[in-house]
Amino acid sequence: MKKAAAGPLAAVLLAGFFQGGGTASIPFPVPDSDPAALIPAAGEVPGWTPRGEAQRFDGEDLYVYIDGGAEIFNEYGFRRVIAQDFENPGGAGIALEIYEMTDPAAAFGIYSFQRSGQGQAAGLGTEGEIEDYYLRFWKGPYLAVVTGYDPHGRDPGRLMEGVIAVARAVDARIQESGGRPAFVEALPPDWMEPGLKYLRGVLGLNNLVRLFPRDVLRFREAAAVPIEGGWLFVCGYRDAAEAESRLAGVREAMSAREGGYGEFQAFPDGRLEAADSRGNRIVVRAAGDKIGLVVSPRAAAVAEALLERLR
Amino acid sequence: MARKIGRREFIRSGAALGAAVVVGGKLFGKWTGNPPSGESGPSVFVVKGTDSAAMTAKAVELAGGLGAYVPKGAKVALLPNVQSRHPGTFTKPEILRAVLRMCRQAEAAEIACLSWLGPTNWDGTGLARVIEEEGAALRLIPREDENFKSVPIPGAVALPEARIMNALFEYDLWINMPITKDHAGNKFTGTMKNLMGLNAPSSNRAQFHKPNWTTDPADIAHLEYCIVDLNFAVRPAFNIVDATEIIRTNGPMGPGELIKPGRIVAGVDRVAVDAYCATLLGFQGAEITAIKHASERKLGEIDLRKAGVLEVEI
Repeated sequence: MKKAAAGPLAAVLLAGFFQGGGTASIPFPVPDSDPAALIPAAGEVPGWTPRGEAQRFDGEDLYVYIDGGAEIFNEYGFRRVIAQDFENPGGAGIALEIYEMTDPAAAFGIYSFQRSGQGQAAGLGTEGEIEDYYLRFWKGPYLAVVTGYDPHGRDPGRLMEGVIAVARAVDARIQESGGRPAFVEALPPDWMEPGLKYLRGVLGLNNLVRLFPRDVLRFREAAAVPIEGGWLFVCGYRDAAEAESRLAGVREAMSAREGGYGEFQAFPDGRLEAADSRGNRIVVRAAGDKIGLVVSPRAAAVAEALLERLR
Repeated sequence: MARKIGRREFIRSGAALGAAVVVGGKLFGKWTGNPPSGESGPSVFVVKGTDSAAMTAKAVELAGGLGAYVPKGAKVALLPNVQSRHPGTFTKPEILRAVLRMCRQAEAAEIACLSWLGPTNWDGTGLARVIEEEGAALRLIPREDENFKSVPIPGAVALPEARIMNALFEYDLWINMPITKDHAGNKFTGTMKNLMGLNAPSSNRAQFHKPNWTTDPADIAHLEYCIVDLNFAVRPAFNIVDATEIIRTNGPMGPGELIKPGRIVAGVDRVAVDAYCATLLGFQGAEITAIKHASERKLGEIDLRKAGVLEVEI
């Protein structure tokens, strides 16, 4: 298997990262291995036996596996998924899904999109987290999701032990590595946790907040940072000129009440403010090659301090 | 009470719960009338509790009993949601079991679950076992296009024709049994979107999801319009929605955050039922494009005060 960041290719990748917005444009090497090799073999996880054959779906065929839910994976950059169920003698099951994304940034992105921010550290993969009944981690270009299910609900503790054991076995088999997107790493460290989401398109954005009925922000990549009662969005652009252009679009949309905004105000320093129908204030401003946007009932009070940190 | 006449549609009418059923028209065709509104009694029946089977039976009872929708001797198809085996993403087996038993009690001649999803989905969810234990049939339809029939949709906004599985036309009626949950695109799934389980996967993929999908909001709207169009092509005799334990995030596949509204929601009016279910996920019906659009096209009643909601806790 190839390592993600090795040799000249790594230098090219890193150069792309620091150009801003370049994480999606440099192809990540396709792993040599068959993803089926990442699935624990029979007997590898005591007490759990593979049930049936593994299912594999490549590229556009993701729609076959997740009809109605494939778009968000495609937005981040999807290559293929392999899924295998396991069962124990008590009738409980474990669903293992390993999504191979186009690059580590895509894997981190879909991981961050799906996580609740309430999980417990699992010590597996990169940023592995245990949630109520499942475990999720990313590593290199992979997102691994291990879900326990038991129709009888007889022994949830034992079920989670199995979930962790399967996840540990997968973690050990993945040799690739890779870091978070440079765009995310450049943000203030205290914005990282918990629950920061890395976005690559408007579908991810709209799942958090529907700002406009069309794609007005048109960012290249973005981060959503949970704040009290809402979100801080940091949208990345090619350069300051593009950010200013997009801000003009936001101003035009808000002033036209797209998205149902009221109380629109444009201030001499470039700051935009409006109110939505759910009681939120929205504050927007550009900062270099980024646009910062705060959505919260308390946005007017907290936005300036947050957006100042983008400068 | 019910009487069976030649054609295949069951239009509920009458003044109140347990109202008489008039049978006529046809199962497959353009919707030509409004479902019963709140003016003639509630049209959304909700039972809250912890025993899913008992809740299901009670919801159906409140709606007049399954015999009001399933005439004696009818061939009945069921459409549970079986998309994923992750908790909170598929119709619970005990709910399906309750409906199968009620169909038997109504003296249905034949009961089958139809699906173009594979056995992995049915086995992993436990639904296959219930179907077998209850002596019903599970018909897994191959995904190839020849197994689906063109159904034109006059007045369609985005989907001029549906591609409905041929097997459905062998039945007198069908019961829609979705689970309501989050969806990554439109934030909600319920009765209307579940009909994609009858439509050919190739159509779902190529027609509902625009070519070169860009995840633009306009593409999501296109999907929503297609869902509404599809609901004019075929319609269920009745809807029974699993809102007991559902995912609020990472839908439709999960795993995601589980919430427990602890409800079964039933009714004929898909728009009203979906508008109610949307509230369980924190939305008003009008915030969901498909529900709003379906209301504008008179598929059903979006205003729950007009629709009438009967809620019971057991």
